[in-house]
Amino acid sequence: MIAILAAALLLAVALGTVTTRLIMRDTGPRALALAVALGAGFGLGITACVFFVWIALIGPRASVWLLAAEVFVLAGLVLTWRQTRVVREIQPASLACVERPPLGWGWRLALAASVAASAVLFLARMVSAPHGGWDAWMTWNRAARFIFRGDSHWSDAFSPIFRHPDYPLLVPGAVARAWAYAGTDSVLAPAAVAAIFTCATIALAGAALARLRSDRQGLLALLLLLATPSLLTYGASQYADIPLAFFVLAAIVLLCLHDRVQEHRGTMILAGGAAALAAWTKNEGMLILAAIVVARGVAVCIHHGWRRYVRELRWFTIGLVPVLVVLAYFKLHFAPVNDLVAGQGLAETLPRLMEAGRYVAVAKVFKLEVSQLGYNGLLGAVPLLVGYLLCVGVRVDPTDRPALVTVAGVLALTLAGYVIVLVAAPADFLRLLNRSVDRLLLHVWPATVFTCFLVARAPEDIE
Amino acid sequence: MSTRRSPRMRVGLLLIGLFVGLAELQALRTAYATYRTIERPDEVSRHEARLQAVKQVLPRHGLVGYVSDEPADSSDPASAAARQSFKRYLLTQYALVPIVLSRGPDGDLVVGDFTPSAPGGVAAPPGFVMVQDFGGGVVLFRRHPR
Repeated sequence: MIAILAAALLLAVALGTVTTRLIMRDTGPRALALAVALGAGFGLGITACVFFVWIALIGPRASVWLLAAEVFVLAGLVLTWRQTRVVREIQPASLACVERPPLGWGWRLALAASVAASAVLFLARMVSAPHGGWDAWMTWNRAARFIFRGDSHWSDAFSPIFRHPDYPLLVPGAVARAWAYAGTDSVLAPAAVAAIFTCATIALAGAALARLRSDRQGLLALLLLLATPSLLTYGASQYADIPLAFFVLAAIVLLCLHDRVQEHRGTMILAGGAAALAAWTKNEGMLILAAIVVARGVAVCIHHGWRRYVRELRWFTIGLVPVLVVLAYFKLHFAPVNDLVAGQGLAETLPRLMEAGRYVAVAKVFKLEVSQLGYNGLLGAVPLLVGYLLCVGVRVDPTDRPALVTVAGVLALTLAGYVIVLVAAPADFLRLLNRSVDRLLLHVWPATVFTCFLVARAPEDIE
Repeated sequence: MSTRRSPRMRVGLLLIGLFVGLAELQALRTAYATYRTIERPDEVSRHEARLQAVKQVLPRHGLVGYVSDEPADSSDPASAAARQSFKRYLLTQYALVPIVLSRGPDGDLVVGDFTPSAPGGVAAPPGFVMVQDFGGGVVLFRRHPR
């Protein structure tokens, strides 16, 4: 059973990795590391999407045919990849490699110690709650169980009786797919999905910075993310906030890569896919998707003009639309109205939005949670990042400017959106939502760390 | 390779080194504390085991009611009592999937989830009769035929 579960998840990761590598057409070990990190999340996301469409249209009993189709597609992708390796010289210009000093033993030791300590914390949390934390068994694993156990009644998972029955299905879909292939709903599947997303998020930040800046810069970001306990504990608790953080980071990394490799359509297609998969992970992902489209529009129009943005948007849309169509199908045919939105007319919401006290209350919670993010008993991760940037200084590559404006816009719009949702929430929701601000911050934390190390001077810059 | 870093870079790297070192020590301490307090089986698995017998006699799908002796303090949904009551309902729902569990005496069948050896025993909701007591505070009620 464990072998089949592992094979099902590895198949998804392999599908994502080969697809990402094919689309990005980048070569070298760092590009491979980046493709694996991106591919792990993309693979789980895309297969969860296809699995949902399959059970919605064909039914939950024919999953063996879907498995066969996945194997067939993987074989096709691998064959295509082997073909494209032969014609590498005619592919679009890939990212120029910068001269990188090798990582010394001190750096390697720090990484090994950090990975070991973080893995111990992650495993301890996972073993202590094998079904995950509250949200995992209330929402994500409950929905996955309905899909797996429900047979022809699997859509009972979206009964309005439940809390958040309209939440999208990336995590439940990934878990239910693994269960369907293994034929049993073992707690190992959600735990493995959570572990893959947590590792992929941390690895993606490191691999992307190693590709865009240097190995040491990538390693510093990796160390900082490993030293953020909430990232590990929410990951081990099987919350969907970590997969969402992965897709936010993936979209931003791909936009940065796109700006470095001029006019690379593949990275833009993947960025669209990442943004859409964020929306397929949690409802907050839809806000993030809108923030990416708007912020990217402003950034590209400022730096290159609107014609370039229209061109970019065309490729972004190619990655975006397939997943959005599935999301729309789910929302229109299966999901009831969101319980946060239901019953909140303009007449009730407007007075709340005009109440200054609510903004003060939300600001206080945000301030507290920002200071607590990655707090190690002495210092939080945010003051550390600020202090580090002040110490080493900033070096912005001119080609990164549109991407940096995009990131700043995405972070600002996303956080502003969260603030408005919290301020507009009814009184009882306000209390409950206040408890979730730390998780809302986690959605953008890996992307923030990546961006800070993208602009910070690297150790080798001033050696 | 000899490296000569600027003092500011040294301070920056030292900051990150100290931060990460301290954070990882904390992580190990937290992991040890978590490991020491691990319950076997965990709370969710215990709840599932408790409901295993009633699950066997419930229909394969459909709506089933849920009652409990824990007060669902509707006046203050954020109170500890209300949270505990809601948690118990959610755990029962999670265990009984693919049954849809409605909080209250809805449907023809109602699962009673009571504190074992609760004072006063188990009381059927109005209009219901007890079908079976599965022990451990788990009871199944059926709507009384009119």
